[in-house]
Amino acid sequence: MKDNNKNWNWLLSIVPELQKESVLDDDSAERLSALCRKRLEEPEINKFFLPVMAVAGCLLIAAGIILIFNYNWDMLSEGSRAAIAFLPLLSGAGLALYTLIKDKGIAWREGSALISAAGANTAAALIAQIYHTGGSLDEFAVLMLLTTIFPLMYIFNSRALALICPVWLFMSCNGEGGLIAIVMLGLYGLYLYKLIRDGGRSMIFARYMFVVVWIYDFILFGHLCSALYCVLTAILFMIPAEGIYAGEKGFFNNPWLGGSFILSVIILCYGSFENDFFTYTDDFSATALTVYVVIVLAVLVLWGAKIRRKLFSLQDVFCMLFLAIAIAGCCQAQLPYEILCSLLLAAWGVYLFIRGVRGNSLLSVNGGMIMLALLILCRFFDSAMGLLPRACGFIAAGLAVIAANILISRKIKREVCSEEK
Amino acid sequence: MKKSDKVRLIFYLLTLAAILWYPVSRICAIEFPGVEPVAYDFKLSLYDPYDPLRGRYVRLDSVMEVTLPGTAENEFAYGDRIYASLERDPEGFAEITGLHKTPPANGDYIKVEYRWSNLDHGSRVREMLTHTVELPFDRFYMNEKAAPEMEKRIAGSPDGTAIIRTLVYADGTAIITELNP
Repeated sequence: MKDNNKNWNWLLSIVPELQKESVLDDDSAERLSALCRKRLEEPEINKFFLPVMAVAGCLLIAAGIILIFNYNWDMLSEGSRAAIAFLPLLSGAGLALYTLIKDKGIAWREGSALISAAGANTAAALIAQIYHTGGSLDEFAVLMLLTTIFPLMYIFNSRALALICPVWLFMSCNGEGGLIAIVMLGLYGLYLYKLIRDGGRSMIFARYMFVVVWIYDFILFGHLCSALYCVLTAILFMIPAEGIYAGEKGFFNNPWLGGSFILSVIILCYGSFENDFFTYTDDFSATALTVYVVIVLAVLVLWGAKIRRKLFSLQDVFCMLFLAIAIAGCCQAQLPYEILCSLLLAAWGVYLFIRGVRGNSLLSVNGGMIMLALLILCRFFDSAMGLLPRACGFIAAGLAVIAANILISRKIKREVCSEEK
Repeated sequence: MKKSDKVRLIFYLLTLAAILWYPVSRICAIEFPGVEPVAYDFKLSLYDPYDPLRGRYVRLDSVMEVTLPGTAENEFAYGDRIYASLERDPEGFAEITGLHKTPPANGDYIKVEYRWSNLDHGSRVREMLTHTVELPFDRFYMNEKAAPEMEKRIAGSPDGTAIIRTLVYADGTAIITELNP
């Protein structure tokens, strides 16, 4: 059985070329072609089909079990129903004890963690249902996270629980941050950090989960100082993302790079319009601001030194300028933020473009061009600038681009001619 | 058994104890209370929503109002968990007579969540405020056939309310024991 039509098609397509180059004689070419055609006629195994069907089957069974437990069962006494409510929990406990005592593998551990967590949730929810005790969703979620989800996640090193943990985190969110929210964030963040140190696919999974953690953190604490918070987050993700991008292949293995870039561009574009985004008006203590900045600088130094094996690059300078604008806004300094943001966007875009051209990095070139294109677009629609100055600016910029194009073309032609000579 | 698995086993047993603590403690508090709970009847309206994840229940309009003097001790913020003093009105139904930040020393009380306050325009005293609080129970689980029937009966009743019999415990918690049209 073959597993990929594409590979066999490719092999069949290069047989004539191999024959032409005398790599294969006629006999071998004919036998190889016959084998390729035979394999292409066989039914293809879709390697995702069976796992997807298995997951679909499990989800259907789980849905059916939920509906069974949701049935009122009012023909039974409260005591009977309470006893039944503990059955999933006790089943999970039995499975978990068996897994630990017999030192079973990963699949058993993940299953034990999931079933124990599901059993605990079911017991608590059914007791509330049987006795009509009421209660709020956020309190239930906090209770489950602290007594069940986090302990089981650590005990069984369960990626599955780590994947669904954010669901409970968002359920526990009541719009305000507090000590318990910080503790829960710390517990989850610590586990994700452990996954990053483990490396491999766990590391990539943890990177995506950190983005989810940030969204939750922003909901709870971002309202304290939105502009500074967003800028800090963009920088905190961008600095290590640069180092990861330099050392690893695969754009989608590094969600921090794209995410921090998009966030930075959005903030700069929005800040380049006449608005009060950086003029912070709520009460924000100088102590909290100082702590924030110290944490950011410490992380920058540590990450820069460890991941990229050097302390600062020009990219860090742009990040520092970005942070300075946000801090100035937080301190309610009277500065022309729209001009500062435009200048930073222009300089950063040019830097990325040139870096990409010199280093043959298409990603960097595209990033720089996106920044410059968005800057131009924002200025075109910027009603704060007069029409005539804008017109002159655009025409001058267009002439400069054409002139640069002519100069670079001539330079390339001269270089090609001198090489031919 | 490896040493790491022994450590995991110990922590799992501690976790299991923590997991069992909540439902068992709730059952013990309800079935074997130190102080006998007091029964109160509330008159609330209801409707029957469809919720496949939580089973069949009727949703209660668990908001109540109380008019109090606009003094500093009656100032609360949205979402504050406070205590409401309970008494029976002339018809025998529960009414809230006071709001407190800490459990009151005397009388029955129930834990509520504060919503908002409005100036009581009907009052002759300008400093009276009407406070709105949310009761701790907002659902009564029923058989899937009984819930829509109950909703129709309540909707067809003269005042559109049902009588919710509750047990209020000494610590301010309350559970619903009966629902009648």
